[in-house]
Amino acid sequence: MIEVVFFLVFFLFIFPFAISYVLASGKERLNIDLNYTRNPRYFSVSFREKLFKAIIKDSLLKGDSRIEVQMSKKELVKYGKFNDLTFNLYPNHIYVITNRAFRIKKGTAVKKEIYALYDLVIEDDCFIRAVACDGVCKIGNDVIIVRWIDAIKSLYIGSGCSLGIACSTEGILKLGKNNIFTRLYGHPIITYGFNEKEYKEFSTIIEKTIRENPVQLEGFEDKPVYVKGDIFSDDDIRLKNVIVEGTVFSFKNIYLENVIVGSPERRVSVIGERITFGRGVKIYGYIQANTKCGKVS
Amino acid sequence: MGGIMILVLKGYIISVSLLCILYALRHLIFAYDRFMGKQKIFYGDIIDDQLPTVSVLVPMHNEEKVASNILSLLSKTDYPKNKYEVIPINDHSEDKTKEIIDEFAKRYDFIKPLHRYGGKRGKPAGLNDALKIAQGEIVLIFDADYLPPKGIVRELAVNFKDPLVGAVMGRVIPVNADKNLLTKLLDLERCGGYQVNQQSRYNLNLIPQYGGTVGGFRRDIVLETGGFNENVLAEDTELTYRMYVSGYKVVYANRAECWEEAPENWNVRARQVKRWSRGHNQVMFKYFFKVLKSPHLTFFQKFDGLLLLMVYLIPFLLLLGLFDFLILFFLGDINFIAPVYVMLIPLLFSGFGNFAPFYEIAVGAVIDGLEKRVRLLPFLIFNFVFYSIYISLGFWQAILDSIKGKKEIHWDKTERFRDKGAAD
Repeated sequence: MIEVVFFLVFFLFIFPFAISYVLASGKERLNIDLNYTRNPRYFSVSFREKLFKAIIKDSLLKGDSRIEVQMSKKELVKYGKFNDLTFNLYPNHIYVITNRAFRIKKGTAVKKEIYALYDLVIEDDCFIRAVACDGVCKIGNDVIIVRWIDAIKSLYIGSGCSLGIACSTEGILKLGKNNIFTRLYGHPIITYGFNEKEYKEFSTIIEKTIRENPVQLEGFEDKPVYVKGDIFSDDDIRLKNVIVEGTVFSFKNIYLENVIVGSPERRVSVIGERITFGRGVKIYGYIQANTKCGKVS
Repeated sequence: MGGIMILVLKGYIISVSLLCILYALRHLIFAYDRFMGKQKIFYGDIIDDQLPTVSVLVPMHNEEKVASNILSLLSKTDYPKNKYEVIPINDHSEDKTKEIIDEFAKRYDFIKPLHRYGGKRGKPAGLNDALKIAQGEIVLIFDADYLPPKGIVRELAVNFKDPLVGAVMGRVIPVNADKNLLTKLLDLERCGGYQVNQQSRYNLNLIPQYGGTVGGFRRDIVLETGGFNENVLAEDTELTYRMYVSGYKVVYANRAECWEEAPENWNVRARQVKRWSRGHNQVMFKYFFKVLKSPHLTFFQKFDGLLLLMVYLIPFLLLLGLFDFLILFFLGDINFIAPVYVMLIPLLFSGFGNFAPFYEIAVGAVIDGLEKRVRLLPFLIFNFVFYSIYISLGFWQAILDSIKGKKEIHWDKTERFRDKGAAD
């Protein structure tokens, strides 16, 4: 019996080896983009680049307002000025809107990406895949963004919205109540109920980075706690009436209320598995939770 | 007397079988965690304008084939240049390495060469000299054959925002994966080893390992604990355990990907594996009891830490098992043991196999989308036999080192294969 087993193991293996070697022939290397650098607005920047090149190359040369663009797959693009009637006529097209100001009407559903070259308003109850806006973008209530939204100048979000995988702007990002998010980037990001104040006194000043499990800090509304370093924790972080100069990072949950993180001179991050913001939060930089685990309560 | 002898021989085989089952379970848990489990968030996601100062060290000995590639890429980094320096360590090179480094140093003021033509040779000795002149709070190391992307310095350095992080390790991917069967198999191993094994050890708060390149550490901790031990061949493993027993953690950064040049012939690979085994086992002798006694490690960290320390001991134990099996066979006492040992063969393949066992590689290949390469999985049994021999030789050398108290260890440089212009 043992001889048979050995024969099978050591000799008959040749056949599967030979077959697998033939099947595995050909080139297959994992690629690394040697020029990649981290950018919190990566989706929209890459989208704009690809689209812009194609528009300049094809649309202007051919004088056609409908072009085909190679994105991750081939996509159709409708380029030009729209009105309410024509906007919904091309359901399988990426819209590039050249109107000085455009308003997407209440309840509109758009399957493909929208790129507005100037200001854009999205009214309540819209369902949109992705939005890039080069001006100011205002979003009403209960809007669902499936993938990402990015505005270069500033971005104002109403309440009850689902903000997809990434929501970013180079300027101010204002958030209403009950929004769900994964990643946010703004300079700054402000939640509802934030009042600009100058604090003259602090209840406590912590000079260094906090590294504890968990972290719970609570100051007074007129005398917040001031943390000069970062805050790191393997457990929950709960901050109320606190100013943090640096990054806030937890491997679990983060809750912030009446908190300022970062400053105009320093972009920082707030990163946790679940992040909940109460009122009066201002963050200069980047926020990241697990997929759809960020919430403005 | 004979009966006791046979009992011992049988007991040994059963013990080795149990050890194999333990390793198999460990790797199965890792594969499951990576495929189905919750993935831990990365420090690499942090965006912060306040970053630590960084010194990048590049040890080089006769690296004219690859030196200009790595220096050129490191000069293109997006890391703030006022917080950045590159120290190419020219360690007794006899080719044009010195000239290439000096040419780059003329063009970029953040490249500060260290030419070593005296003193002890080898990577740890070179690193120790470089640490004396390095200005950065964080030291990152890249071997000369690596091709670091523009954003990798930031991706690695940002991990050190957490004061508990003592060292960080990025992911290594062979640039010459398509070259031949060996490089294809090495690509699969790397895929399982990094994408699955290291990542799940990070997920499960166990012992992710600093690998000596595409990684870094806090300069002050290493200097305070005596720099690199110049008589240990696996200075990276030694540093990993030094960090853990000192109360710091090692972090794995899966997204910090860097290309390396994998060995293209079996002789070079054999020497490399033998060297790793010798060095790793030196570390095992030094840290086995320190890990057991450490107040900074949890029960599971100690358990994983010890299994990791013993990784290069197992092939030797298995080979002993094979001899044990043959002795029992010739003594006519095989009947009871044979099924156990036959069962061992698939266990060896799937449970230990090589650096990244069967199902870890399979899961890694699925995640990375290596649809063709994964079909080479059966070939890993050849690697298992190949590694068993050379790892055992390395283990034997480590034993001799420890018996003789050998202090001077010769550093065997890995041969480079890059054609001129290939990296472009």
